[in-house]
Amino acid sequence: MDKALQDDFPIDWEQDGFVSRREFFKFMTLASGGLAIGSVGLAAWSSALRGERRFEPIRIARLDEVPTGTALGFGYPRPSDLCILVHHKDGTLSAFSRRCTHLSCPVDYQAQTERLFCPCHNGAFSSKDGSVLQGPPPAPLPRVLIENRDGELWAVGVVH
Amino acid sequence: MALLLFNLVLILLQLWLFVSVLEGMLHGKTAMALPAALASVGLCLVNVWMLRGLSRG
Repeated sequence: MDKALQDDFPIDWEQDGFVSRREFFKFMTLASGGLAIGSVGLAAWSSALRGERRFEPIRIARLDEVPTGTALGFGYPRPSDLCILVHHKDGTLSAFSRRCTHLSCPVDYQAQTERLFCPCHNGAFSSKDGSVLQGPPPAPLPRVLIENRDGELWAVGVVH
Repeated sequence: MALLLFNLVLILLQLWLFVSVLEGMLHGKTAMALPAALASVGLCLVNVWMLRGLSRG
């Protein structure tokens, strides 16, 4: 090879793709920064998901259309988001998402035991507060906030 | 070489934290997201500190 050319380009062809330890360390530190940013992003996302979220209120039914000891299905905040309103025997009302927190099967109200039962894997939730009573569900059911406006029941928000 | 291996261990730890948090979130558990994020940032700072030391040396 020409001597002048070799002086101008001292790196051999075989060494062209060589990565020094320092360069590799820099790359790995960059990856570490990326993972740290990703983790912070996940934390921000999780805090956005938690807590109370208000949506456009929708009318569910009149109170007298839901006798005590029964339940009524509705969609909130979108019609495809299945929810269930329970009118307890003591006269109180509560509403939850119908999607089981295990694998999203719809839960059904069981009046005798006053619980919301998922037939897919025998999961059960309290119909009072949505907490897990049995089975594989890892988290309580999201609660739907309801308001009684002159005898009409309205859904106004969701609490995760 | 030892620093490089330590760097790799810290990144694997960050990766494990990230995947654990993501898996937990998909199962509705969000409690560990913030502590894991703080730990991940701390590990990243250790890596940056080691890189600075390497660049000076």
